[in-house]
Amino acid sequence: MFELLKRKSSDDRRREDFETEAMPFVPDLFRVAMYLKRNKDAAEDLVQETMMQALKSFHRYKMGTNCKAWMTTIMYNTHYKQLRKQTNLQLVADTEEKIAQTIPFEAPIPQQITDEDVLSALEEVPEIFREIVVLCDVEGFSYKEISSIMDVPMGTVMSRLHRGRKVLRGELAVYARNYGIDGKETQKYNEVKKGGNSK
Amino acid sequence: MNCTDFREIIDSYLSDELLTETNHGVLRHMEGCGNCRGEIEARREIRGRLKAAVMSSPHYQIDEQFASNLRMMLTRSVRQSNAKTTSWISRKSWVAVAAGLLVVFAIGFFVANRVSVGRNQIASITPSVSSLQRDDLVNVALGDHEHCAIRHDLKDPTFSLEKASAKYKDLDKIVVPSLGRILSKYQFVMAHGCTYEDTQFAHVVLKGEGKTLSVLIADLKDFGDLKGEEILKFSSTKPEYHVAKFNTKTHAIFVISDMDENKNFEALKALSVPLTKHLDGSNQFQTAILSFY
Repeated sequence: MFELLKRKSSDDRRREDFETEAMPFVPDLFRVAMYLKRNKDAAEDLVQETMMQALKSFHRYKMGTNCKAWMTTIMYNTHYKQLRKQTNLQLVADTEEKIAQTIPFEAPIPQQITDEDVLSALEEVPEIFREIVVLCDVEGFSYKEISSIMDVPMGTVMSRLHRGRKVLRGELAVYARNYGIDGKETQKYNEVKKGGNSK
Repeated sequence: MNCTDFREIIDSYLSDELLTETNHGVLRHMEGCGNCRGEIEARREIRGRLKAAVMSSPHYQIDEQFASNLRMMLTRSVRQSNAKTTSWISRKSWVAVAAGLLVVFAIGFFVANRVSVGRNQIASITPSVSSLQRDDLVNVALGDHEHCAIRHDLKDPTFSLEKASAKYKDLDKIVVPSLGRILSKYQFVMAHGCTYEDTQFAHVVLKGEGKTLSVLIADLKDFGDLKGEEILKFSSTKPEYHVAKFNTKTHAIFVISDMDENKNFEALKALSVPLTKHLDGSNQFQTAILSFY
């Protein structure tokens, strides 16, 4: 009985820890919400719902682990739930492959591009790859954490990441043309992408 | 490792996802291949540029007003949530803690050579401390009650104070202000009636400063030999809990808490006058209690 009581007291303390452990990540969660929703109001709603859910479940959070990853997992679950409510849309199994076929090579690396170019290039990356690229390269989650957050196998994380980075690089190459860094590979990339989109 | 292999894994290398041996392979390859060194730097730069672009973009910055409102809402919810937890702990566990400890000294009295303090000792102002060091008794009592209360398996569910006894009606309104004088940071959590081993208790719980205090009151006739003008302090094998007790002419009153022993006893004293008035309907306090003032 005493052990049980102590455990509950510990849960109580954990709830108090919510303010210091979880709340500082609200701006990070907002960024992730923006990747998912691409709309400020919807992102704010998602952040709010995620934080309320995180508060409710905070006793399940294991102190010392990555709180940001834990809350991002909650955010993804909440997002998927919302999607299921809104539509019956399901990912088509070969979507990934179809998109991947449009990335046959690595484009040259642009050097003179601006932040706006980078963000515009990111917008051009198909969502299925984009979110995984930002989770890894911007938010700094490990492959394992992304696998847990998105509930997909680690191999899928790695392959999507690889493809997403390639697309991003290709898109950046397109922007680079404006700075005179054109080349055969960029042209080739455009042709392939055009062909892929018209299919 | 050739250049094709190298380019397959360098993103994982940059993400620090490779095994140590593979990292060594990457480093060895880079030493001898200028093109691949250039490639890895290019990929590193793209990542850096992407991160910098997102982090500095107003599009991805949270609105300060929204963040502030959300923080306020969450802070409120955290507090409410803590209050609910407190109440939950009290309902589910403190019945067990308090009644479990009661059973400890009930068994202690009936089985382990009753320990009591005579009037002479009480008059000396330093109350006797009886240690119930019998682990088996403590464990049996606490163990039994774990099954009864914490797991919602009380033979009889809890009920209102009034149902326990007409005298217990509004008991919390006497207990809480009386303790408030010495325990100003303690707040009322709950009050109910509960039955254990055929004895009905009124149970009032307060909480503050991270401690919990239970006041348990039972009709004196239910305690058999445990009568008379006794003031007792117990220490169980669970040293964080202290138990103190006094009798009015009609009732036995226990204070059980994880406060320090003296403070626990102060709480008992603070209750003696108002509870005697309320339960016995008179101003005639037990001599033993008066001797402490």
